[in-house]
Amino acid sequence: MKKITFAQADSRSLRPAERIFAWALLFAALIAISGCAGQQQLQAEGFAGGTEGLQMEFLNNTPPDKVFKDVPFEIALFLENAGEKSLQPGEVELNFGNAKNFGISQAQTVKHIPEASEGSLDGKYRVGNQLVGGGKTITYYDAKYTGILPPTEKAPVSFSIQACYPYETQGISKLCLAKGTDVCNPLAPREIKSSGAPVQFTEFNELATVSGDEITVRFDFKLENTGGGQAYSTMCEGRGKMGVGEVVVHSLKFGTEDMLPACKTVNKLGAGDNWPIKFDKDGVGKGTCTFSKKITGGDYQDLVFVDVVYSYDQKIDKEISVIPVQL
Amino acid sequence: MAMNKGKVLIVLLVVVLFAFSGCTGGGNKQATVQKSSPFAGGSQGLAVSFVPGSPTDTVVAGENFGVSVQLENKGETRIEGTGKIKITGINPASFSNPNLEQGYIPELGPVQKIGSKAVPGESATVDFNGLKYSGLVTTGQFDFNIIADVCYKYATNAFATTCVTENLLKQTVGANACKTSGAKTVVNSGGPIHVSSVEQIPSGPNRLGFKLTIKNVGGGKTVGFSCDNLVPANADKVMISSVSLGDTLFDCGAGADGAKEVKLINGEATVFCKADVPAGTFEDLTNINLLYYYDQKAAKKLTVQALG
Repeated sequence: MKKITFAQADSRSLRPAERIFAWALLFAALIAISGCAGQQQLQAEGFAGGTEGLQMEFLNNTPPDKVFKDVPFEIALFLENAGEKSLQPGEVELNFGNAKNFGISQAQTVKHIPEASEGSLDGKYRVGNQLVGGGKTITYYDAKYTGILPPTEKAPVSFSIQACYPYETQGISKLCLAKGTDVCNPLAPREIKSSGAPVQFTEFNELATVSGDEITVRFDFKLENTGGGQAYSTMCEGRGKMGVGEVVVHSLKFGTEDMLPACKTVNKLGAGDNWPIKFDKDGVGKGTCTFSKKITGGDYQDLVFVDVVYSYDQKIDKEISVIPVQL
Repeated sequence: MAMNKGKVLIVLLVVVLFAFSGCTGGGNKQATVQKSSPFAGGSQGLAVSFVPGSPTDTVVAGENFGVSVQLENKGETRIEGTGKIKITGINPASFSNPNLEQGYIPELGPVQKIGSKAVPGESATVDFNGLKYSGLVTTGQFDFNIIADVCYKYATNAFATTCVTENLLKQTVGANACKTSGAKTVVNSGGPIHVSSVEQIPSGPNRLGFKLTIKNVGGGKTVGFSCDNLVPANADKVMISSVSLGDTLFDCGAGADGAKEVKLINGEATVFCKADVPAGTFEDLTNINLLYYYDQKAAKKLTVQALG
């Protein structure tokens, strides 16, 4: 077969078969190149962000605004993971409030979703400049209002569905270990990036003092409950009066160094203790840590990674009117 | 015929041009002291920079990369190999603990003035390999400032015009009389520390004094008298090795070793030196020698990007 090089090829002189071969080669090359480009996805944009965990809403007309007493109707609850932590099958506990009056079966009063067959409710994430939405699911309830009729149709009855699920917020900021300000400024305002979750890192501050080659760094971070629900430092099953309005610092690293033990000591906690951060009445919590390091090799800055974990409890309410069935 | 006329005119024009250029140089008598500088001059010692692409502006977490630092001797002192170069600004533990320090600088010849031209000084590259970001970045990208920090021994040689008369306290008059007091012309060898001004101050008929101003004109800072074990108390210090007019050594308040330490405040210091000078009427050059260790930095933004 006659060899063709693109340098030598004169399109006017290519025979039809040769032209087809050349185009096929070009097409194959383009596919190969696009394949190579897809092998290394660089997460340039970081966290997907967001201030919620699970979003819940009732599907249109399920339930309807008006139902007949003792007549079955369906309730469809749509859930979407609007944060960045994936929820594994069974991790979300749903509690139907006022279940008895709505004829909700025992099996449906407390549910754990997503179903194993559905897989996890993945958190949302970024790929390049694209945002990939979180996992979604719908759960159904077979309902029938069997309670006492309200005095009039205009006096609604209500039910609620309470969701509790484990969640996590990651925060990333920087610490500056420096005697001077050539590399970084220990006192400069600091940004903290927060993963999408109903609890957000909102502030990060550093204060550093130098004595010879040793630098003592004090840093603090603020958290805010932004999801509209309640955070617990206990698991969903154990939540109650204990652990309400708290999250737990699960991990704290400066570069690759685990700082959690040192921070626990600073906060007068034992190695095996949890480090809880409690929210005040304004929904703001604060954590503080201090450590010292020798900087003999020169000033530097590095990333600090903070992870907090918690159970998150939130509720969705619905009011419907009940119409008596005319016999 | 027309062409011959044209050629003659061109030749005439060239001759006239040469004649005029000769005229502009005339009328000035040669000064007793050579006023043109023997130095190439300049305000840099070692120029420090990152070799382009080493590192690249962005590196991927978990992937190896290297850092190459370019050093060029832009001053007129030979670098003998003492000194230190290190990479700072990043936490070595987060970059796989590579070796980020080299305890010597390569020998680098200085800039040389040959005629009216300056022959560039020597260059070298120092490589640091085996860096790899090993931190917890799993998403997004983060910026660091990577610094090449170089410490080296350097010197500055300066000459200042000096006027000596039979009685320094009496200013002679006349077309060729030099000034026994006041600001003097000073020239410096290329380096980051200069003698920025010299003022001649006579304090007796044969007692000559100078007020020297020493200034940091480079982009770095002096770090004392060694690149090892930097002592904060020695920061910003320069050594005046000698001030001499011929065989006459000036006293600048030297220590036992004959050298005088000065501390730069806001990059400047003032020193007073004095000596009894031989009788006579002449102009000459006073030689001032400074010695110091200098720290110079180059900075580059390094972006570490997570591999998704």
